Formats: sequence, structure tokens, C-alpha cells
Amino acid sequence: MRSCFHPTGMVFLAALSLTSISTTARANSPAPVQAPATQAAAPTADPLPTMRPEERGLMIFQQVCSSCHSMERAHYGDMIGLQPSVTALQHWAQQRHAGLESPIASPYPSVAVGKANNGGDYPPDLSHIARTIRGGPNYIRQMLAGYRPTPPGVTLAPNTYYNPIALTHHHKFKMRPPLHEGMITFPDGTQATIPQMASDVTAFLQWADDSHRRTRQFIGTAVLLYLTLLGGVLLALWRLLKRTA
Amino acid sequence: MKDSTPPTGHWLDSRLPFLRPFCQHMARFPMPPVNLLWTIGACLMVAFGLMFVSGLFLSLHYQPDLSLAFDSVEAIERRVPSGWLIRSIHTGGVSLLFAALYIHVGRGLWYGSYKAPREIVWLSGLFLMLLFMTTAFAGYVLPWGQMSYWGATVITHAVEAIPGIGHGLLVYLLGEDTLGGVALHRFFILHFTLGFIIAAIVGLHILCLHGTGSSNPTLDSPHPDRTTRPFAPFYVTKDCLAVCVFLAIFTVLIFFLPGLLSKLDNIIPANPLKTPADITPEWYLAPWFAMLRAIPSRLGGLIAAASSLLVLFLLPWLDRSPRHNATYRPLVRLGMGFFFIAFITLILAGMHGATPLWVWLSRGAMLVWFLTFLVLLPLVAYRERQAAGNAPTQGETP
Repeated sequence: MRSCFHPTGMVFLAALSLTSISTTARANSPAPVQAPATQAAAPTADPLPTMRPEERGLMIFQQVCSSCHSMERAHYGDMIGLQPSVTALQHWAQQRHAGLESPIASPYPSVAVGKANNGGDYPPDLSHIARTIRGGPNYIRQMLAGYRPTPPGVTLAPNTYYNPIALTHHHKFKMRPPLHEGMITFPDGTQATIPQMASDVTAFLQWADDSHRRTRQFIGTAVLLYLTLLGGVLLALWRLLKRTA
Repeated sequence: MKDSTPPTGHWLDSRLPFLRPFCQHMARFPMPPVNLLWTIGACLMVAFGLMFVSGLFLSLHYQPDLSLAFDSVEAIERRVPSGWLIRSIHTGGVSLLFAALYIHVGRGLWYGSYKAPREIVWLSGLFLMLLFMTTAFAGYVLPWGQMSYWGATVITHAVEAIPGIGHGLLVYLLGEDTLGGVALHRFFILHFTLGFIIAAIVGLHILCLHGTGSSNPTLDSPHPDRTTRPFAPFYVTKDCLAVCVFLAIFTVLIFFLPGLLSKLDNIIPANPLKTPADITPEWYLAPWFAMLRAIPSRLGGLIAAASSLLVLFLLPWLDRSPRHNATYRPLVRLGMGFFFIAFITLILAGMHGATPLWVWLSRGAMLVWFLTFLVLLPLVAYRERQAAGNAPTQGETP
């Protein structure tokens, strides 16, 4: 089905894997991405690798979100921007019986199974959720950290959860509380608190929706700078010609 | 004639003898003292060039197939190297192109650029506008998102309103009963081919312009200025400067405000079973969508939308006054001002839901549209011709 894209995709992936670190650093990040600390290095002397929020968010997505949600529009290989190790991505894809060029599909074999496992609501696809959901990234961030114990006097329907933020959108909110304190160990030493993880995974979902934002703004600034210079020269020339010609 | 090339001539001159006269014509082309609105044409050329080139690159990766179209657009955004850049130029460029196009047409209306001897310039330009509208509509279907599908469904079903042959014509055009794979493929071919046809008509449009020369906005003023300057270097520089500003606006829009020009519904794949909350066209087609909606009868809406464009084609014969510039024609100035407000109202009406307020506003705007062109302009032109007949000092030569 997607065979037409294989040549391009392969070349692109191969090129990326050859120069993965430099490409990632240049295209996406002011800070270079370092490989996780290896066992051989002295643990005290080795500084912790720096991680961008969306890189931590990818870890959360891999370990938490993707066990219910799909991200159909993205391929496993597309995460190369956040996880420079092709082997790690391949490992992740293989765990889910897929390859680097497969879309990040739903873990459920059918919509019916997905609904049955989630109290009747199918977990939505996350490819563009940061843009399409009402309230945008702010809503996602607050909602993920918005679960509260059910107050006394409130009775919830079966398979629903008490989340005052989510209840602004839903009558019955059926997503199990996904995040728990300390559920993930981040290589950069960030504490996996619920607000921290909610913020990181939101950053990841924004990246997944619009992965080229940083590059786009960089190119945009460069183009504007160029046009300003060119415009200045042309303006000077025009005023000169207005007087002489 | 000698077989050998003259030693002084350029190698190309003897083989393409028209080249040097052509370049000289372009460089020496006498330009009246036009204002900055006359640079929009150059901006349009650049916008069209960008659309053409970016479109060619997109067509290398796009798949005009029902099951592949949406994914191929996502692949262009995510996986094709620089695909996102080319696609944002193409999807953002269309808004800039239409903005420039409408200003260009508006300038023609205000300064009477449609009048003799420039009728063919005007008609070829309007024909180009129709082609651009068709191309934009066809192009919007291609990503096969929700708004692509439902927008195309609404507009193609307007064809059904034609009495007698409507349904048959629709099925013939779509290739099947509903909007599906056959239609998508046809829309792609239409969109791709029209790019080249537009390029040819742009050539014709400029050729016509160079036959008659640009119109002079100062002729009707109390102090007509008949001096001309050669096109190069002054107007070349002026056009380049305008293009530079135009590209800067373009850059800000596509690189910093991409959300402004894109519809959220179109990043959801087309689903014929689920109608989006409100189907709204892109702003540049919104005026005619508002007209379709403003008339309770479907056929009436179609006729109104078509005749709103037709009156523009008839303009050179509706307004045969020797005076060009609306600035010096008080009633025309008023009418054109109302027409521009009506046009903007129609854009806004088309982009909003069909609430009674917007429907009545679009009816009012349509009334202004037709009154301006069918009543006001011919009447004013008649009076002005009478006045000119009594006092034959008024010059008409450009």
C-alpha cells in the first residue's frame, strides 16, 4: 500500500541514521542530544544527558499512551527526530509487530475491542490531537494532571473517572488515570511527577502534530532577514531612480 | 541574406531574431505615472510562479487515489525531505494569490482599466480569475480531508440544481453516483492541467496589455500627467520592491502563522458518514458560497452566483463613459466603495454559519453588487457621455 514511499523513506531514514545526531541537533534542538549514559562510564563523573520535554514525552507515549491510543499518521521511524537510535526504534516497533515504516497503529485489533476495553469509548488517535482537541495543548496538560479522588456525594457511572478538567468536555470521562508518580525513570534525572509528565507528554503531542515548528521558525526568520536586506537595497535603488530617471 | 552570422551580432540573435526586439520592447515599454497598486500584477506573477513550482514538486509525491491520498499528504508533511516546506508554500500561497488577485481586479474596477481599448486585457484577466477559482477548488479536494470531501460534495451538488440534466450531468462529471475515487482522480488531473493552462493565459493577458499599454490613473484628474518612463529600470525596481514586501507578508503567514490559513477539519480524513459541524469554504471562494446560500432556491443561487461573475465580463459595455478613474466620478466612487464593502461582507458571510443575520447581509451585499454594475454604472456612464458630447474636450486616449 505504501510501497511508493519506500525508496524515499528508506533513503531518508538511511541518511538520518548515518547522521542522526548531527541532524537532530541541527534541525530540532539548540542543545545537542547525548546518548544515554553507558554502564562502562564512571557513574559519578558522567553528567546526565539533557533531554528536551518532547523526548521525555516520547518515552511516556511509548510506555503509557500507546498501550491504548494510536498515532496512525506517524510512522515508528518518524520518531527519529526525538530518539536518534534506530535500533531502539526498531526494537519498539518489533515489540508491536511492526516495522520502522509502519504507522503507529492502535494496539486493539478492532474498534469494538478498543471500545470494550475502555468502557465504551474508543481511545482517539493522537496524530493531531494537540491541534484538533478543544482547548488545545493547555487542555491536554491540565486534563492529564486533573484526576482527583471522587468527592463524597458524587456517584460515577461504571468505568468512568473523576476529572474536573475533562468533565468540561465530557459527561462521562472514560480514560483511566494514565500517569502515576515515579512510573518512569528518565535518563536525565527528571523527577517523574504527574504535572511534569503531563507537561512532557503534551510537548510530545505538539511535536507529533507539528514536528517542523522549530525549523520552520528558523527558516522563516532567515527568509525575513534576507527580504529585509533585499528590500532595503531595492528601496534605496528606487528612490535613487525616482530622482534621476 | 548571408549564411554566415554577422560578427558583431550575438550568437542567439541570428538564431532567435525576435529575442532582442522582444527584450528591447519589454525594457522600453512606456509606463504612465502609475501608483503602487499597479505593482500587484507582478506580485501575482510571483505568487503564481511559486504555486506552479511548488505544485509540480508536490505532484511527485501525491497519490490521487482514494485510499492513498490522505496518507500521501501526511507523508509529504512528515517524511518527504522539505515536503512540509513545499506544502506550506502551496497551501499558504493560494490565500496570498487570491488576496493579490482580488486587489488586482479591484484596482481594475476602480481605475476603469476594463474600458476601451483594454477590453481583452480585462476579459482575459477575468477568465484567469475563473480558472484560478476552479483550480483552487479542485486543489482543495486533493488532500481528501473532511473539509475537502464535504466542501466538494456541497459545491458539486450545486450542479444538480440545473433543471432536467442536473443529476445526469453530476454523475457524468463525477464518474459515479457519489464523490469518490474517480472524481478524486479527475480533480487531480483538472488541478494539474489547469496550472499549465493558466500559465498560457497569463502570457496572453500580458501580451494584450503590451498591445495597449497600461492605463493612466491621472488622466481624469484636473492635472493629467502624460509623461511616460521606460519600464526598465524604474518600474522593474518598483515591482521588485513590491514583490519583496509581498514575499515578506507571505513569509510571516506561512512560517509564523500557519494556523491562520488552515482548517482544522482538513487534518481529519474524509468520512462520508460523518458531516462536520459546519461546512465552510476557504475565504477566497466564500463570496460565491454565500450567494448560493442566500437564495432559497438552489437553481436561483446557482444563477445568482454565475451572473455575479457574468456582469463583470459585461462591464466594458455596461460602462462606456470616457472617464476612467472612479476617484473623479463621485457616484461611481460611492458605488465602488459600496461594492468593495459588499464583497468583504460576502466573504465574511460565506465563512460564517447560515444564520439569518448573515443570510440577510449576503442578500443585501448581492443587491449592492448587481445594482452597482447593472444600474449605477450604466446610468452614470450615460450621463457622462451626454456631458462629454456637449463638451467634446474630454480626451479618451490612454
